[in-house]
Amino acid sequence: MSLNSLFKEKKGKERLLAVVIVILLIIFAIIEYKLVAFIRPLPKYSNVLIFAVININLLLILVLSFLVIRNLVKLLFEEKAHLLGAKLKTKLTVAFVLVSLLPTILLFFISFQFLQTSLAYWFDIKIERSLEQAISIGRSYYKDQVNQLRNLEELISRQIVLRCSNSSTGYLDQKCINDIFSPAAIGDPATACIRKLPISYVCILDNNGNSIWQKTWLPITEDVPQIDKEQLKNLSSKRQPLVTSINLASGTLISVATPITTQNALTIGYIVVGRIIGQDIMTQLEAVKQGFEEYKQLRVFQTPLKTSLLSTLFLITLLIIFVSIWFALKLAKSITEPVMMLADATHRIAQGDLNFRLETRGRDELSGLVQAFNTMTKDLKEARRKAEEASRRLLKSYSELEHRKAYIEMLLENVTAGVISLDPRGKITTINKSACQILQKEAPSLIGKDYRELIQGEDFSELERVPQELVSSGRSSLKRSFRINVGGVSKSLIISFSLLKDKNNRVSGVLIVFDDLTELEKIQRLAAWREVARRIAHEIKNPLTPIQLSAQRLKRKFGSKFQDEELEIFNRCTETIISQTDELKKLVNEFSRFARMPAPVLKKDGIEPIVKEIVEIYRPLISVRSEISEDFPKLMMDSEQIKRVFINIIDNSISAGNASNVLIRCYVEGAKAVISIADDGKGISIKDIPKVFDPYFSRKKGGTGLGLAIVKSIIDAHDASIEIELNKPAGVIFYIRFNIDSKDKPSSISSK
Amino acid sequence: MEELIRSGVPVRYIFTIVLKKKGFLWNDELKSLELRRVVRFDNLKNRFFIYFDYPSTRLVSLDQLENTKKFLFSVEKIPLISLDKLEKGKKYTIEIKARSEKGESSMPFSRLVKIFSSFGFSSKTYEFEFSF
Repeated sequence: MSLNSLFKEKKGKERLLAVVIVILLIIFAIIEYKLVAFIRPLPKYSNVLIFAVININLLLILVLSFLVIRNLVKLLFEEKAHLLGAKLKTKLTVAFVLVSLLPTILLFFISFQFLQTSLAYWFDIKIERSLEQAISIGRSYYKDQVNQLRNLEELISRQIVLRCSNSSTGYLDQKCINDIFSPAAIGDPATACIRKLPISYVCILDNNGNSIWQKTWLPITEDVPQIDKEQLKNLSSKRQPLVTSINLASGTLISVATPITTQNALTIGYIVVGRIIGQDIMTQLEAVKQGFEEYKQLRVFQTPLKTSLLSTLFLITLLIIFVSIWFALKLAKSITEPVMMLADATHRIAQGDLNFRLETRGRDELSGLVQAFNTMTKDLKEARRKAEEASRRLLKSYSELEHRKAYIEMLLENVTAGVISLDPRGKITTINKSACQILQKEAPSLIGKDYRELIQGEDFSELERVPQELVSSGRSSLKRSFRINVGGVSKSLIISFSLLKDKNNRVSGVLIVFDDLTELEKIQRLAAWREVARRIAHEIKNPLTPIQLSAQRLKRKFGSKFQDEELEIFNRCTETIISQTDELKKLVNEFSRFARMPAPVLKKDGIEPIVKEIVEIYRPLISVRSEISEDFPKLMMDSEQIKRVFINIIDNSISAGNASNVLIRCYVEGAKAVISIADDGKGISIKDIPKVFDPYFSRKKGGTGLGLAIVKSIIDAHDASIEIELNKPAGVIFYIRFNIDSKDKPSSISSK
Repeated sequence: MEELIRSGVPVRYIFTIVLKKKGFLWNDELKSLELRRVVRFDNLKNRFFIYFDYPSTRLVSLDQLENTKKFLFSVEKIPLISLDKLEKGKKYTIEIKARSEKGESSMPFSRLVKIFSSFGFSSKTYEFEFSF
């Protein structure tokens, strides 16, 4: 999933969350409205603000609850999943939450206690008593003012009844009333005191409540209070004065209205007397009243007030807790996110991914760390690029070196000459296959060993001198011929010693290159012997026939001329000449045959007829048995020459070994067709084995030493090999191995 | 309630009067009226004050609670509709309902208290039927 789609998905979730919040807000508003409406009728718009505030609070709490719970659950899952950084995040969150939660809870309980105590102090009995006493004083003052006004009213009323009223008609004389309050009435003690009364306003009303006379000492701007006629009418029956008060600019005007009654209890009108109470006194009285009323109201609403204050405190505490938890989560996230990002990035780098860059926000230390990480990643990427380039170059060089090394090794392995390199201490560092074959050693076992281990015994003393001679001579190479014994076989080697020098001309070792000249020498020797044989045959064969013929002629012609002892001597001598000449002829024929060995005419032929013929030839002389495996293939051979091989070998067994039994076996061994010829003769000494096929090597009396040399020549001409081993318990075994043509290979090769 | 009024909180009484003419399927509303009366106790003067807004605005001061109640709850001689607007021989109903609510006061936290207090009442609707 791409980052873009993830972002879109997140946006979609946020939109869904917003819709849910709006729906919840509406539901809560309706529920709240219904709940409150059921309790009591609501004024239509007065509580909207409070509802809004409460709803916002609830909404905030809900949103915060959701955020907090979601984040806590997320944190829990991250912790369970052992996500990178989850533990650190949990620890930070717990730490931040504790740091914010503990003082908040402590503060809540302190505030709760403080509130309880404060409310208890508010409604303390002493305060209540003080307030009641204060209001009582205010009431007394007010009552006193009213009583004074009533007394004044009574005084004025009496004067009006006495002087200005008609008791029978109830008529009130306005002029008379005016005179009472007029300064012209000076000297009249009864009215004099009235004029000195501390009043601000006097009004005389008729029975219907209409003003018939009034006098005011109020400022011009102040309005005179109007008395409710309805209430005035009730005054007569109630005997209670009507007290009103009105706030004016100069103070509060207290008015007392009472009916004017005659001596026979007839109401002839009403009198209203008012007095201004100063603003300062009224303010104090109002303050006392307000204090008392507020206290009373608070007492009435004590329980809901306590509930509301505690609820508010609780809501605020809850809000603080959620905000602090949310803030703690955010803070933990803001700290752990870069750490997690860095850890993840480290993991990616460990896996070899350097193709990314971490996003940084802000300028704090973590952002600095992320920037440093980005720089490090960039440097690493550059370093890796350089390393890869260097590695590629190195690899190329290495490949070239390997190629060269392989080429040199191939050369060394395929060169027929033996190659050995030695370090300055004489330890073998390299030895090729040909060297191993010549010396009959295994290469891995020789590496690191002293070169002295290559050659043992007497041969070594001569060889050991050469390196020193090479160094002392100042020459770069020396060539020597050696004859050494390898596995009981004498080998002729020509060895070249060369000093290995580095660029600084320092000797870093010795290179020994040698060739096995044994076979070459054999071939050369064989060729020489053939030449000798050819010349001998040529020089000897020609006079032999005349010698033999002469001896026979002598015998025929002069045999009858001798008698007795002379005849016997004559005959013996001529017979000896003839027989020895025969022997010489045979010898010359052998020489001639050896010298003129014809090239084989190869054709595919079976071995069985040859073996059968051989068995038949030797049947009168010795026991010859044969075993030919069924899968033995036809061989590319010259049948006549191979027959000669059998004859020469069996002749040798009979003449040199006195064998009486011969076993011919033909079988397949791997990729070779093997013909073994075993006898039970006296065999040969082991040291003579390498010389068996040499020309003119013979241990039998009168042997030419050419039989097995001819065998070897024939076998070599057939590109086959021949070996001789001692038979057990007696005799020898010849193994002739032919290469099998791949077409003639049996499907299942069995070795016997 | 008395304690509340005596604490100086103005209490508003609202009387809703509806005159309807009886119909076959539904009644036709001819007149609807809302009377507002506010009672307030002045602790300094030790008196109850009632404010009337209909038929004319007036302020009545009383010293006894009982008298105050009489004044407050007496709904008499209220001009509702001109008689010439009534049809003779028809049946009419007068629905009346009263409710009370706490007025504004200077008490601290008064708005907050409003939410948590259960002050106020609403009576059921009383119906009187008459023929003209």
